[in-house]
Amino acid sequence: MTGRELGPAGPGGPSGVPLRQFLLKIHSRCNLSCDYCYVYFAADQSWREQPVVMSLDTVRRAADRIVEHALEHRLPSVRVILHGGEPLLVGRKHLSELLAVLRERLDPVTRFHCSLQTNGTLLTPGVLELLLDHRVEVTVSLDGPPAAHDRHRRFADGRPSHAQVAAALGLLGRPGYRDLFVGLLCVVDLANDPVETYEALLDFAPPRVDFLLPHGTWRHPPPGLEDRTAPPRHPPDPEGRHERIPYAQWLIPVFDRWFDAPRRETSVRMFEELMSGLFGDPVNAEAFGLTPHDLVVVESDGTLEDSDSLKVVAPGAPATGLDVFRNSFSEALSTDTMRRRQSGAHGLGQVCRDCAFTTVCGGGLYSHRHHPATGFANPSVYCADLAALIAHMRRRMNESLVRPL
Amino acid sequence: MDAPQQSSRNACLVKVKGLSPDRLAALAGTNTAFGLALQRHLQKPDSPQVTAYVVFNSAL
Repeated sequence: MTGRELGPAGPGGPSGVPLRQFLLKIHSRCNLSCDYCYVYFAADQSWREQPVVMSLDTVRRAADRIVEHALEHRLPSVRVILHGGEPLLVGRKHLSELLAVLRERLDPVTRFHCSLQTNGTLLTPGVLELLLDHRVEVTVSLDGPPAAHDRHRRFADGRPSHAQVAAALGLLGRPGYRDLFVGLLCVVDLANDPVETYEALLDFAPPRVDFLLPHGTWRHPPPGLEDRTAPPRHPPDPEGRHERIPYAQWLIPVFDRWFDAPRRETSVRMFEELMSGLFGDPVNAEAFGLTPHDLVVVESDGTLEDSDSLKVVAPGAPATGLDVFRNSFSEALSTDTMRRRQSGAHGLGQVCRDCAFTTVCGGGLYSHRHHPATGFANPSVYCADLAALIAHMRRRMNESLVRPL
Repeated sequence: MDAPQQSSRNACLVKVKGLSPDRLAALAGTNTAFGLALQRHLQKPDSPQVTAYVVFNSAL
């Protein structure tokens, strides 16, 4: 089952917006065994068929396709995200070689920003020197203080990973490497105290924190939302009043703690983008808003896929049937999934289109909307929580506009 | 887009139009989360951006 077959045909919006972000899965395995991982423990198990490492031939081909796309669409800049599995498993030699390939091919054509998302366990001074040489920015996954982080993020033999990740973050915090440090990714876990979690992340002085909602769908709801098996037929209450909103109740204290700090301590992307939407401005986050989706995934074998999070929907859900050897990135713009995700409100179901929060929430993350009967034409399984969070943020922002300074 | 829907969406937004320039400047001059968000709003370009980098929702 591919992205073309998962639900009612999309409405067909305007012609594609060029891709600007290219996620390369340079290693398809991981040295951790996080129990919520959408790559290894979700419906799609295609990782088993992938080569362990993306070969340099595939990297060259992917780079050439990026160049082709940048020239075709006159892109002044592109972003390449090194991903996996755990990308640092490729080792320094291979990493150095693939970075050289990317630089030599992309630098003459377009401004090229490279970043790496890592579990942090393999960040060493040697790796950081290499990343510094090639100006590769680093984002690290950290779920909070040790007990919180190690509840899910362990090695396959059960060993906890927090200590190693903390050591890596200590390295990243040193003056020579500090500029590489982009931020932290934290998966929300209702079992963890929200403010304690946030403050544990602040201990590492991240420039930015991204809170991620655990992946789930209407068929397989996320933890704590097991009763949400039927998409709503009406938009949520615009005042955010709902019976059960555990994720809003987790995020709201974090928002208040962040919002009330006398000086902003870190960027929290979720909150900043939702605030942008509440001001009537574009929301530049995959999980919210209506900004056209502009990312494609290149698997280790060169096949092109849509967002990884679609792996929780069904086997083959992210697949496009395309690859860098035979197809251009522009061809990826014509898949049903991509057209729907670039169609703004036209790509949403009716309930979302009727909602007061459409332009802010955008229906939530695409994969979180899926139900077998109606495809992606539904609100997110987190709809009630998102509405409550947004309503709360709006109240706090309005209060701030009139409160004495 | 239906006018009633658009009106309902607009009602849900945070509006700064009624505030004086001095008040806006004072709020946006603070280094708080809200102050910086307001700065971003006030500094946005008149013409809509095509796309900014959309944050990919993935942890490793």
